[in-house]
Amino acid sequence: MITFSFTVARPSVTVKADGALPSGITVLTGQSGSGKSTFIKCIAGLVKPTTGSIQCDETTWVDRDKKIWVPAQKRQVGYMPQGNIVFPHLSVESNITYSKRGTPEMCDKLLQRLGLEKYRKTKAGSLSGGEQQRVALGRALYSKPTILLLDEPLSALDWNLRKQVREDLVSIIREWDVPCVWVTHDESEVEAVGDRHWICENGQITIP
Amino acid sequence: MSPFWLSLWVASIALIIVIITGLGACYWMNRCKWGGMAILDALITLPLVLPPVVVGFALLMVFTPGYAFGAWLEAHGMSVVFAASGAVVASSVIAFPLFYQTVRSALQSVDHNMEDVARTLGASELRIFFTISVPLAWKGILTGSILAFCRAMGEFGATILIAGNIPKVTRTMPLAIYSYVEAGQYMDAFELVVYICVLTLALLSGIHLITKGSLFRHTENN
Repeated sequence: MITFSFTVARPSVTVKADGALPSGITVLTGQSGSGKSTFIKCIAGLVKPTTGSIQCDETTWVDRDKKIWVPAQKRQVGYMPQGNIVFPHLSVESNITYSKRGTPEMCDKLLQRLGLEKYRKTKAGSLSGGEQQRVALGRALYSKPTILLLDEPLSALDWNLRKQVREDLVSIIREWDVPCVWVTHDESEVEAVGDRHWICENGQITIP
Repeated sequence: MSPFWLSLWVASIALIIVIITGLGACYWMNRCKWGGMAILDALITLPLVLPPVVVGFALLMVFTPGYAFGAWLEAHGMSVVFAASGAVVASSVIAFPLFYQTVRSALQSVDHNMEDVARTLGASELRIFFTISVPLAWKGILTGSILAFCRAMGEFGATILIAGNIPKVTRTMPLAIYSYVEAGQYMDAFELVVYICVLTLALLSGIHLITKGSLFRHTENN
């Protein structure tokens, strides 16, 4: 389990978070600029907290007092940022196997489950928005993540596509049984996606 | 070697040097957080704005056997001054900032989220650079390479100072044009002017054809 207690000062907002990430899907909502993305970037190791610590089971990822810093490369975190996030110049298979942590069997299983087997050798940039989201999720899962961090995974999709892609992503995440933080500013996704709901307001993460 | 082939040879070797050192500099400059980067960046770009003859003078001071580095090179059997290698050095230094600035801008425009994703997937910075950043910035790299090649082909001021104007050894096309004009052989000069114009025009058109055309589109299936 990932436990955290940190603050991170950004020019626009200071994010304060204190809690633990349980299993299942946690939906994190908040206004634009409230610090949601900064929070998950801190967990992913892409932003350094100003003070505090982050712990994953027995391993300390960050401890500012003890000057401990584990870089993103060594955290084994599945991260999906906003926007178009596949590597467009690589094939679907090369996208999924970009991390060296998985096995060929795992790649086959993921391609089959994600319905992307026929696109194995297709350049990922040529796929539709929904297919690209599935490639990005497969790529994250192939890296055997201890946690999945999804930053507005549906924001680049048309409204009429969102429901279907959301259902696909949620069912695959539940099958793989990986703890997940799903960041969104769309309140309608809270009930449809999450096991619990956290709110980020002016940088303060409220955990009920 | 004729001026035409010598120019092609010099520009080709210079381009290889510029691509290797330029990509290295871009990688380092984009990732280094040192406070003095702005000064270093300006220093690297300086040959782009300085008169080539000033760059040539600086190179002459560095490579002349009268000073430490040049003497050391000569002691090891490497002569740069008044040699074809001098023309390569001059062309490389003059063309470098053009490649560096073009490629650095292209690399900076690559979506940093993709590099972040690659980090979380366990990729080293070097792997990210060569598998994500460079392929996504290929248009900028190609444009920078062609611009650098054309600049190297047309290099005159720095070359004449460090490599001289020795027929069949260091007399590249621009130096040959200068020599023909000085000798009143305008038709010979005109012939070379046509060569250099056609070649550089074709290369510059190639930038547009390749980057805006249908070649290398990533929407094609394998």
